[in-house]
Amino acid sequence: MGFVVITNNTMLKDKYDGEFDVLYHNVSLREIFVIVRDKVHAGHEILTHPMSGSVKPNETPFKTVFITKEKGKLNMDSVSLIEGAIATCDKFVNRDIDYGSKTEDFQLIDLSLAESALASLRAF
Amino acid sequence: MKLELGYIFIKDIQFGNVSKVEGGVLYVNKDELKKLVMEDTVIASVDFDIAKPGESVRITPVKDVIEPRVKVEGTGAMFPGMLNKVETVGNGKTHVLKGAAVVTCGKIVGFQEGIIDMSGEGAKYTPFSETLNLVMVADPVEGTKQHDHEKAIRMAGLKVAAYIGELGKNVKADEYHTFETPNMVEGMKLYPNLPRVAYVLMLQTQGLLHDTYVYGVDMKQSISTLIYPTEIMDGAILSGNCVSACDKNTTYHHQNNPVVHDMFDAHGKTINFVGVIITNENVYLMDKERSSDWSAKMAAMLGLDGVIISQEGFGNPDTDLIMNCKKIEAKGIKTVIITDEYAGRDGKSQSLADADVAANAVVTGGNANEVIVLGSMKKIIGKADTTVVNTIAGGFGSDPVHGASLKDDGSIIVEIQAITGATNELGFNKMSAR
Amino acid sequence: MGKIKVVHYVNQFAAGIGGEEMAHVTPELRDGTVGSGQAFNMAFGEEAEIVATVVCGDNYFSENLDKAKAEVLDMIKSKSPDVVIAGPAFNAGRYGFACGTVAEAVEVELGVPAFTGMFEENAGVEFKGKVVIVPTKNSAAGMRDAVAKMAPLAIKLGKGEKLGPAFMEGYMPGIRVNFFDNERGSKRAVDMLVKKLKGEEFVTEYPMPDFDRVEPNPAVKDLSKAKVALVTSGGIVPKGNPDRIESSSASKYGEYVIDGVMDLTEATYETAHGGYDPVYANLDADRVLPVDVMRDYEKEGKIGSLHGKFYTTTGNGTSVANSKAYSAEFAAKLKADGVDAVILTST
Repeated sequence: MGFVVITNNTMLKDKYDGEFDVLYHNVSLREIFVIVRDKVHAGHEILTHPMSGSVKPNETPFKTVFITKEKGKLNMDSVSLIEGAIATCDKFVNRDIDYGSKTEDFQLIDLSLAESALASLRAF
Repeated sequence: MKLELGYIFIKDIQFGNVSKVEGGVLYVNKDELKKLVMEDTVIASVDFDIAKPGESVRITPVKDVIEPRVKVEGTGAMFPGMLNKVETVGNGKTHVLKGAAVVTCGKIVGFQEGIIDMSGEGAKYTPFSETLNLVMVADPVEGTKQHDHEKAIRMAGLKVAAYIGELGKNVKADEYHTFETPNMVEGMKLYPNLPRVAYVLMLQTQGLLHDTYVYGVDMKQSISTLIYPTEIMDGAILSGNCVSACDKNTTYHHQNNPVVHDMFDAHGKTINFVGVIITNENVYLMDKERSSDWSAKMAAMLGLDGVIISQEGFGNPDTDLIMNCKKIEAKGIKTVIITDEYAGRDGKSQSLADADVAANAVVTGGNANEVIVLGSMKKIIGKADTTVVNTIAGGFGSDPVHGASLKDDGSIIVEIQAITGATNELGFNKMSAR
Repeated sequence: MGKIKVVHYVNQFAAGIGGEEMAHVTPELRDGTVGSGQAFNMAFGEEAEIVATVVCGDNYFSENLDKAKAEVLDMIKSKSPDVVIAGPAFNAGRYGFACGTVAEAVEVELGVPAFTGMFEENAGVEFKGKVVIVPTKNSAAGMRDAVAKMAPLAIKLGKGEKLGPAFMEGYMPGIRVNFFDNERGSKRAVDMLVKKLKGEEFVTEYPMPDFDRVEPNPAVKDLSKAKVALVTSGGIVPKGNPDRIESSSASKYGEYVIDGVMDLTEATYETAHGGYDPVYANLDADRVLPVDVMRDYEKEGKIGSLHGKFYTTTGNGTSVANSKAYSAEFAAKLKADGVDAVILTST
């Protein structure tokens, strides 16, 4: 099964670009979800949970989601997953925290969450 | 499998020249402990402090809480596969320093969370305001990677807890409690008329700071499997989880798993407690399908009538919880699930990320978004400046209603998700929501 | 501290202005109590007092939602209340909808606590996840009972206190509130499981959101031979709304013949719906009920034929129970007329 990854995490992009398809977007976490949703509407299937990690969506600015490379019929499970993720995003209030340059830890966590799926992804 | 737990009630902790348990008092030689921790070259500095119930003390950011225990009889040793060899635990006799806890504290990543208040409003929400806490604050050598840092603090906590537990090995316990799980065939003969019930324990397994270890195995790499409930009491399951303070299951929670204890209480009376199925909460959706298929399959293999399913964490695990519930119900096995809620500050949002009609019996540990004011404390163990308090989950830099989390007088306004163990999803607390 | 200042929101009926025929009246601010307000003041004793009452006709409110809401809010704001009581609306659907809307807006936009009361089958109950709603009897005969339940909540909210969970305070469950139970969660879980296994009644602590999912029918085999009907909850009606389908909380549905109608025009059709901006639907009702496109398909042979009647109601504030009853009725008619497929449009 082919997969592509949608991310706003440069750490992941720098590490894996070239090894597999990395669709990097310099946008917010919520906008990543919207991009994923549009892909789902186009027939791609979500492979990793968009709400991965216990770090809350108003806490981490970074998000990585794997989807299928191939397009198929609209997958309703994927639709409800990503719609649920967007709704969850909107439920958490804006915390107005300036992490400054200290976002590396968030990038690392996101990378680690993404990598935890890689072994299984590659097995199939 | 049969385990006897001997509770040695600890009434006080003091630093002293000789580490020992005497007359219900735990004496600790600080230098010995420091030496023990400093054996790891990743650790640059370490200090210990004591926090007692009712004191004006705030501990933050908390990583893990561990109960000191020691194997007195039987096979294996405390924290198998991690601190000791993998030989099976859960049988024989184990001593517990009841009322004492080792709390590991220190910032591993920039946003790490977890507050324990020993008194005041916040104390009501964390069970660790009621324990005598030996707090370890450790820092790594410069340039240590987060993975190595987490591991070093995790291991140091376990070592300290084991060292302290060892002090109770030859002390006579105040109370003994016996827990026994007969094998499948005997169990059926013993209680032919009671419903066969098991516990499906979901473990946090998503990646860095989100991991759980079983006999030293990173549980995300395992399929669902079976474990005796008494093995869990002997430290077979360890937390490597540092985020989501309110609903992370610390090692202390695992050692004292309340579902295990309450199922044992009902065992032979209203249920036949068959055992525990442990499963994971991976990020990859196919892993979720596989693991929940296996939980359901094992539940059917065990000929169960009912299960309780508990989860750990927020968002992603809701999906595993609902999958487990749906698939087990589909086998004709009744379920009750335990969760917590993120219903928004006003309690008006959808509580869970996933839902299904099959989940018609839910126990909740409360709404983690509820806002609370934590009064100022005379003493801070760890660090409670703006870089910690405002950035923890549930904290804020500036908020139209509440301003910044950390006030000039040291008081804090946060969502209760910042408090360690506040909305525990094993059902450890009395707090709930309707 | 002085008395808690309460502003009361009531409709034309509760204010004694009149019934349905006066439902068009515009918002009006009156000092002191109007109608049932006196009963609240009695119950408040020395602790609180209704300082002003806003009266508004139900139809005016639902047909001019944004404007009416803004006007009502301005009036309420001018009295700087500590708490706002809307209703109780009992079983009046449009009144319930107005009460829910006003209470929610007062809380969200003015930051002042507000709540309402109504009968459990009132369509306005849909607000229970957003505002505190006290269950009442189904008619104004239950006023005394409603006041007895609502007055203590008004005082509590007026003092700025937080309410406990629904079952403790007596409002309808919906908003999630924390509290400390008598047993820990794990014990509650074991007890719940034992009950569930015995087949005894148990109460879940978190009712799952209502899923009224309908399994899709098998696909229409040959669309080119199918008779297709249009049904809408978007309120499209012949110009002038001959059956007077209400703009919200509709008490009926309409059945209209479209034999020979090729296109819905501004002159012939409009919407009765009060829940969305009607401008574009009124300019060209095909935007909600696509008769023009269906006629094209008919001509092109994509569908067999367009059914000669369409069914319509306004989904706005209409209770699920009523909606189900309407659709059960016209579904039987559609079946009897040999319709093979239905396109449902909403707004």
